[in-house]
Amino acid sequence: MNHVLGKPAPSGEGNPSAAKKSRSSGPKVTGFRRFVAVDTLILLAIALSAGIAVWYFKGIGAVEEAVYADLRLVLQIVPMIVAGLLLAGLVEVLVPREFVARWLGTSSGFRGLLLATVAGAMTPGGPFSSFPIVLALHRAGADIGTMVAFVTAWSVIGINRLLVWEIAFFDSDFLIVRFISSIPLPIIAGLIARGLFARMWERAEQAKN
Amino acid sequence: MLISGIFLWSIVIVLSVIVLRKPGANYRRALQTFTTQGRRVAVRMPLALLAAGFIAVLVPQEVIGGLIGGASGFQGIVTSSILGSFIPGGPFVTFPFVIALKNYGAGDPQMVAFIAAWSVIAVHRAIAWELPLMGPRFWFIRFASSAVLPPLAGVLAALLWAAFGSHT
Repeated sequence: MNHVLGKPAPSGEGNPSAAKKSRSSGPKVTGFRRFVAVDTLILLAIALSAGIAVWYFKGIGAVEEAVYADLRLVLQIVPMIVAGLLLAGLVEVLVPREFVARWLGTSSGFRGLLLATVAGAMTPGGPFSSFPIVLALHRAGADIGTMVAFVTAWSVIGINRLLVWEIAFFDSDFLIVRFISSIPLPIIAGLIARGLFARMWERAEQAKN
Repeated sequence: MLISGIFLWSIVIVLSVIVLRKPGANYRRALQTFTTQGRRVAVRMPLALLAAGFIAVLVPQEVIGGLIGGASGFQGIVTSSILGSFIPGGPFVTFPFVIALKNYGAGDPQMVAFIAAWSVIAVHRAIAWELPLMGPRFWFIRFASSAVLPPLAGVLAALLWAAFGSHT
């Protein structure tokens, strides 16, 4: 595993635009790009074979019905998705990631967990934008609980995903309950990481230095 | 849907004005994020919706209802937590499947656990991003600290719905 924790900073460190560039040229990412293209093909294969199966078992009428339902849903969702993706880009430009790292790296205690949760929830984009922040947090001196709370908050109560995807797909009842019941999760994960694994993490960090 | 659309577009307009007026902020970079992301989504989302729709027609409703239906209780919450962990891809792939599952009788607390597991455990993301970038030790600690979260979210959601009774 050629992970970069505790090793010299990768080329993209501290500079979002450089990070973006390295995203499309780094060797790791080429592999991921290939993976992404493959996943489209897999989706296509699944859709086709499922469609053929529906045709075989339920007749052409059922296929047509499913396709129309799909088109209706796509038309409903597209305007929301376009707005949401624009939003993600705008937030990325407005809130530089070094700012987040500096702000969080030095806070500790329960306050640190809370701040990490808020920052994680407000971080837009996929793993390519969140994990570099976690690395930056690590280098700015954040503890394992803060990092875990950040990743958990970003993934489970991300505001960006809520605005872009969940509003488009789910009724308000479902998304409100889902959001509220997920709010405590980052803090809980952060506390567990701190309580059970802080020593294991620190010992490994000391062994590296 | 209409109201949330207006809400979303208003935020976009406000933020656009801020970015355009702020010296040094780069509107073109914001658009770049939009186009790269948009290209990823444009093909995959309709395909995922279609695949999810077809599969939902094929899988008997009783099977979904029995495994992860509203009456499946805590066992269904655990089952959907495990299922959700292995769903690959972004929200544009996963949410269509959640919609299809919901239409075919999956329970709401079970789907809350499903989405939490897909978000937090995310086996595909661990393999593609977390292990290479953060290393196995970080992944292990994060996984061990998060494993209980999806069922917990499902239980909390069930309690919320029970408390407020808006759920049928």
